[in-house]
Amino acid sequence: MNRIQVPIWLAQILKAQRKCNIVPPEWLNLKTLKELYQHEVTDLESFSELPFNWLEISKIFFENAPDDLSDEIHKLKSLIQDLKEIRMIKIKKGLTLINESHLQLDNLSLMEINEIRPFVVSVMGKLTSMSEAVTQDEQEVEDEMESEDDDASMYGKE
Amino acid sequence: MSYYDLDDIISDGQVSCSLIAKDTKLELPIWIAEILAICSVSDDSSSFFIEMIQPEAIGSKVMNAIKTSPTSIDIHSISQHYYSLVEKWGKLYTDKKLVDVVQQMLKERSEEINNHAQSLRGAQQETSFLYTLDEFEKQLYKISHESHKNLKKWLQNESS
Repeated sequence: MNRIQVPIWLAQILKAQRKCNIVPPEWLNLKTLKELYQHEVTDLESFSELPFNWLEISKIFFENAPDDLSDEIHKLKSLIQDLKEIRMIKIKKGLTLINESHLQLDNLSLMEINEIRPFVVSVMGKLTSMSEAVTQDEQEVEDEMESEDDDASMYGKE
Repeated sequence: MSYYDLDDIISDGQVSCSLIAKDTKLELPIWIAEILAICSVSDDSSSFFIEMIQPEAIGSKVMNAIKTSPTSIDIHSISQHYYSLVEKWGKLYTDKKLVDVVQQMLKERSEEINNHAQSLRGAQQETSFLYTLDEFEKQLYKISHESHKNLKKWLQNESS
């Protein structure tokens, strides 16, 4: 048995032709996933360091190479699901910190970002356009104040 | 805000109370009031055609209601294009305070909208909150719901 590194799409093809076994990544087993889950539960401020594409990788394994996994697949599946759910709760908590220019959530994976991207982008867009409406005008008013000082009082609001 | 954005155009047509000549109250759409309010009658005079009266939607009553409880206020009944209205008013009068309050409201409401879009609440409560959304928030609800649905589909192996 030779162990070599190949892209995952190639591994999938070879697997389908029964020409190889895929070695699962070191995090895709019950022990590590449980540890990661524990980390998620105990540390509510940060996300555990899962790979950027953990959802995709685990999906591929569940579908194409369930026999290569060392643990029972339904247990793994439910752990992955648990992980995803608890991370989603944290994402929601993180979203409350949103402002017009900045939102930081470290260790978020590709699919999790995708899930919230359209929502986050449009909220931030609206916040930005409201902020800009005010700040741009401030500049204009300042410019005007410099040029025609006495007229500025006309802009007073109700 | 694009040139072809219908919501933006409609919000431009929102009436705002205005004062014409001497003490005549008149309701005008924002797009014309905006111009009349900053154009002076003649070159050498310092008076403007009209003076805009603050709409109720951004008056102190509504502001206080927003500050007290952003998620339970019925924005839809106040104005269907509330955020656009605030944006335009803020731009006209550089009302930083107004924008700050409304931004805070959007943050809190968007969180709620996101929760509803994933239908984490009971259906009963959901509908009553959804009726209070303004057009922009409805849009938010739609795209948030859509992206959650798509991810679920992908996880369950259905093609969208």
